[in-house]
Amino acid sequence: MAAIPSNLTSLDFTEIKESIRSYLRTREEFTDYDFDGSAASYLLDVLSYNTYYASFNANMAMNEAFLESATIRDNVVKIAKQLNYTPRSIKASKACLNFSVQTSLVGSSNAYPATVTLPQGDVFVSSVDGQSFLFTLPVAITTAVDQQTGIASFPKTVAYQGNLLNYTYTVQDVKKRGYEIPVDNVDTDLLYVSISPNAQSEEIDTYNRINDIVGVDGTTRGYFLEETDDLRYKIIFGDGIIGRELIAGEIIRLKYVRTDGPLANGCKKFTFIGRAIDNLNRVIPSSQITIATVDASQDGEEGEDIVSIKFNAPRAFSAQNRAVTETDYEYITKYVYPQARSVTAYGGERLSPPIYGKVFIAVKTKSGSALNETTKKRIKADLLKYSMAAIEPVIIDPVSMYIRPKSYVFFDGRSTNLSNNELASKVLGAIDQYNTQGSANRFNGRIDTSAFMTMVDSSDNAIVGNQTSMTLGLNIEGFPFGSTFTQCVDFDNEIVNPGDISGGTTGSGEGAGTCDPKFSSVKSGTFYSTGYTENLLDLAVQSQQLTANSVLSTSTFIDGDTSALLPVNVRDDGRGELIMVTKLDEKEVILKKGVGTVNYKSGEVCLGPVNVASTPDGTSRIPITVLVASGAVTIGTGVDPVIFNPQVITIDYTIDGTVVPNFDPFDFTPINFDGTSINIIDYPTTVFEFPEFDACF
Amino acid sequence: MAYKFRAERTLSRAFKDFSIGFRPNPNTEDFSVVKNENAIKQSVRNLVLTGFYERPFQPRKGSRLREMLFEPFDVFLAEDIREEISNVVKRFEPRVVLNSVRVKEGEETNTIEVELDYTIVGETLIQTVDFLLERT
Repeated sequence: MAAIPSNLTSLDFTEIKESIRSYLRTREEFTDYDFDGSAASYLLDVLSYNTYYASFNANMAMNEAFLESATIRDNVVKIAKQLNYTPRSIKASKACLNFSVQTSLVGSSNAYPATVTLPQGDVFVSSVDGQSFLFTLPVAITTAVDQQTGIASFPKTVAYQGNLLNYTYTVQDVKKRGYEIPVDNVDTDLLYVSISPNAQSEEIDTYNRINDIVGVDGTTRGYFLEETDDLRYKIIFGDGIIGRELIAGEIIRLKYVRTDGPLANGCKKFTFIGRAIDNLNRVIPSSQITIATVDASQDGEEGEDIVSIKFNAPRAFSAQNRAVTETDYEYITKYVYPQARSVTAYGGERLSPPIYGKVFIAVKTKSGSALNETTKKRIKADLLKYSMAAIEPVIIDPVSMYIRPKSYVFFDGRSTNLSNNELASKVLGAIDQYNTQGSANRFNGRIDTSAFMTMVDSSDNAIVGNQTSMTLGLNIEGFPFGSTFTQCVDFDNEIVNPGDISGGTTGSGEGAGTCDPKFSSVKSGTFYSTGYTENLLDLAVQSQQLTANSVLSTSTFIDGDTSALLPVNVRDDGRGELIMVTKLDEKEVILKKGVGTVNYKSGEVCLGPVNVASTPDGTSRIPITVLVASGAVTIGTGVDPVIFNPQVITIDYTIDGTVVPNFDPFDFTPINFDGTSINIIDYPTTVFEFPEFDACF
Repeated sequence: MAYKFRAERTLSRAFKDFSIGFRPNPNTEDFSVVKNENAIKQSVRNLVLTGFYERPFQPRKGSRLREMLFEPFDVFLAEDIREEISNVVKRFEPRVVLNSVRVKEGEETNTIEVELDYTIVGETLIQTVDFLLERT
């Protein structure tokens, strides 16, 4: 019996040919297959090529059948579809504009028109790198006219790059559920689907995208979205059980933006090419229109690429629209509450002491304000649909941690035309951007001084370097005015212990061999303490010859004293105790010792016992600032860090010889509580408040 | 029964190949077969007339002969053609030892006549192959 070719797995032409040759060697019919010029050799070439082709094709076809090995986008998308994953479409670049229109008086009357409407469609044009782009408004905007000035303002109008297109389908066959958007490069976030009963009808039913079938029934007006071939998307309507089924004759109206994606990022100057009309249908001449760009076009992105789909599809599938892990809760909370800027979730077992059976979800809103109770209840109710039995989601406000960087920025004045102030505001702009961009993912992270310094260095070419120190801030809040209290805040970061590095001249230190610490690493904002009045200070000055830097020895307040309360601050004495101080003739006077404690190791600061009569802003909040020991600020569970009032001091090193000294155990001037302008830790001047990000997007 | 390896078999020393025309034998209605010196002759012709990149995955198998036919003919080209034929036979046809290659221009017919003399290894008889090269 003749042998058969045994090497069946080869994917190489030469090996396949050799396999056939070795088979022929077992046969007697022909002998010349070994010689390259023989006709048999030519025939073997053809056979081998055919085999190679078939096996290559089979190999590629099998590769394309699996998510991991597929290389053609359409195939990757099809496999992702089995995992119920729709890849993200291209995203249109968007710009934020302040648009205002000066209307003219109506006829001979003194009244201006009531409203002005900016129509939907391609109404702005701009260019970047010599290429011009159209920007569109997906929906018309109408605003009231100020009857005093005749100006209609459209503040923070968001325009999207692309062409606004319409397409209409008529439902012929109700069994056909999928309708394709007939162009590619459509931003599916800007897809508007509506249904009319017939072509003549003015009645419009808006359909929204359904992402999962929780709460979807046969009457839900919605559509599913799928990607099909060639970067196009398909809208799929319900079958009467999951989603409303369409009726024959209904008109499907699609409105969408076809965009160039990231190419249009960076457009700054916009020209209006649309027609603004008032309520009397008068077109407003372009000379009466003013456009100011608030934010240049940004956020344009290419559609999700193959690598990203391969990564995301199995992970999106693993959540299965069920909240099981902490990440699931974060993802679903963002989905049910899109106004969340950032969400962090953690199981109660991570708390000390642990609280089992609960998952805590800290939601930071886009506006920065805390959630009200109704919203919290609504989010909780929405989450319960997804959560596992017996696990209770608890919505909490994140604890804000305020980071106050102070940067001394050295620059080469010869290589820039910017003044010190201009450069400082450029750096502050970069810090603001860093703050806004990073805010969503700083949860559970850490902020490194070195990373911050790199960011500052790269904000302008003239900057040669900077020295930055980070202080942390928290408010002591919710205390009662006029009664004695003790309250603590936990910074969760080690605080510089002045006692560790104390030095200088020997003072009346209590520790053996160590000297009095000469600086503080904990400082509070100004407040008014009950009983500490100007009269009391005057009296003390007179009777005790109290001078600057002395300690007030009296503790007896003056009865019926109606003089003004002294503005006081609290700082640590470098030995773990807080002292209350005020200023007399620009020098410090210590009013009271023992008004609180500092645990430098754990970062806990307790204020009290102290009696606060009032605060400068009237709210029961006192800001506390600490100097952290490490170069990196670690961010604890559920804590939302934000950069607050960064200070930037620019120094042109070519003309200004100022140096920022390092810690010197014998000279604390640079880090002292009240010394030179080069001072790392200052008394906070305002309470810490989460900044309201005044962004359009 | 397991098959025998080549070394174990008593194979004929004859060379046996398909006829390159793949025309059926009128008697057997099977492939035509060429044997021995004819098989080698066919092989030599095949090699000479095969161009580079003609055979799949074997780009270096063949000669430049076809391209050369488009060059103006002179003694230098004749020498090049001789060299090319000699090379390809030496490289790919181990069964023969090439004795001489003659190239002659057929002026009136726009052809080149090529004549190869070679000896089959192990035999003494000199074989001659001649063919016309024509631009197509």
